[in-house]
Amino acid sequence: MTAVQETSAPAGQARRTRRGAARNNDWLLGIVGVIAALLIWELAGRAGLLSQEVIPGPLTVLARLGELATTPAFWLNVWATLQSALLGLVTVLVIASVLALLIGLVPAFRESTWFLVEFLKPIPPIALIPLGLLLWGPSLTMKLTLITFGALWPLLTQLVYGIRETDKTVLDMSKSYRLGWWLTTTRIIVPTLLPYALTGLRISASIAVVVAVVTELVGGARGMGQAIAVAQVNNNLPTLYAYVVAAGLLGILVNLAFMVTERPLLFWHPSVRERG
Amino acid sequence: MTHTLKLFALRAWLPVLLVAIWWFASRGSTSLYFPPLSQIMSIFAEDWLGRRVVSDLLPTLGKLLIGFGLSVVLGILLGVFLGLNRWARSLVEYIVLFFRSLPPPVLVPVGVVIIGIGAAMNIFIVVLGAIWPTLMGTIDGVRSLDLVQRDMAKSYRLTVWQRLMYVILPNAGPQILAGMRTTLQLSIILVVVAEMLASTNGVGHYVLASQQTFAVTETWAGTLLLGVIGYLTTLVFVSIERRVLRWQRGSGQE
Repeated sequence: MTAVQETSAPAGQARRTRRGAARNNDWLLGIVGVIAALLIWELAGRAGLLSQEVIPGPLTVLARLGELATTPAFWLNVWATLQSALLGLVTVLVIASVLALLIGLVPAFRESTWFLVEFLKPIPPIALIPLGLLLWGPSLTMKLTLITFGALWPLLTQLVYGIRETDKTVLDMSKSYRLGWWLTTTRIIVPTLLPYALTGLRISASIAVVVAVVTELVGGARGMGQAIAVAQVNNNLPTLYAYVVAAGLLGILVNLAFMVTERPLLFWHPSVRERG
Repeated sequence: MTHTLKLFALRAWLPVLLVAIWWFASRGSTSLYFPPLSQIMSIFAEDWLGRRVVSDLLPTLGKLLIGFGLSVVLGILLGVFLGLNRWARSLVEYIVLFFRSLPPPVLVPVGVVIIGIGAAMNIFIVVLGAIWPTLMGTIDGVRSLDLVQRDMAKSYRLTVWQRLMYVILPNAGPQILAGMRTTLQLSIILVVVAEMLASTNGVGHYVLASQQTFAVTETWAGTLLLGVIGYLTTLVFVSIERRVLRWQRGSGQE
């Protein structure tokens, strides 16, 4: 094991540095792309190709975003969206874990719920917004119910896969080695499940944000979606676009948060090791 | 045969039981919010098997199909280009990252400002919001091509077209289809949201309008219809996906 690693180390290292250098260039190119796009946008506005009435220039939008970022109302809106998505995600985590255990380990439960799950999974969560509004009004309960319903399925599906993928041979071995409950759980079950759980949770998280924003946009629950709807009705375009940009940045942050947690948790997993 | 029947019974009893409970528990319901299921079904039949099919259902399905189709075609074309062209890919990487991280429904108010209300705007929103999973799947699929296969295709002097049709696209197939599936789900969501906020017809418009006018039975019927649309489109997609990828599953098993 060590011998193999030693002999292959120089080659691997060389490849890594070459790739590393390329990656540095890619990164710069990406920034150039963003700046170029912003420049084209600004110049098109100034040249009259884009009507300022419809699409204000990036400087105007970014300046408004900067202004908004100093107001507490903006952060309260961001927090309202984020909070409902997070609460929904926690609910999803609890429900999905229980259901996945039952579906994965109890065959009768799996077969009995099969059709129900397959039927509910593809139903678009926004279909329930009018009903949710009818029953609960534009409240946090309505948001949470819809977020939970929409974001449950990816995590549930992944967890069930994970449970069914747990290697029976490895489990048998842990039994004959008498590893005991604690070691079996921490050394075998958790490492097997974790990659599946994180993938599912990441998809569920982005769905949670989407559903949160839609309930605000359509239902008038408080948050960034509502701010966008209000800005549109008042024809306050810089604010409208500033919130859209903020929503995109929030989405990027959610993805980044998962990448940052995945690395230390899954450092041993091939997909993370390849990324280097 | 008995095995299949047994499995069917095992899978069917719970849904049947739930529907039966709903049916009988709501039978004499006078609650404003929970009308009897029988009433919901009769409104459903009246509206969605009858008078609203042409005025609302078909426009929604049409927009969905056109929007999804455009997203897929554009997503694959752009994805192949970006997948093969590293320079271009790096150049747009962060721009794409922004758009695919954006919760797509926030694009609806932007669409209203830019285009106004109507079918064209709804389709525009679907494409702008739903193209990203197909695009990303295609890029990843194109890039996952085995180096040996790539070199082989080169040394056999396949033309660009041949390489694309016989080497690159089949290899990327599973990832493209996985992306398309998410694109389909997003397309449904976006069509409905766009209709709720910016349309004068369509299923989305109908459901939200009935909620706002407290037409509770209609709201339930519309919600059921949206569920059925989501379920059936996924069913159709999965069966097409299976057929397209049959060669791949077969070779994978051996």
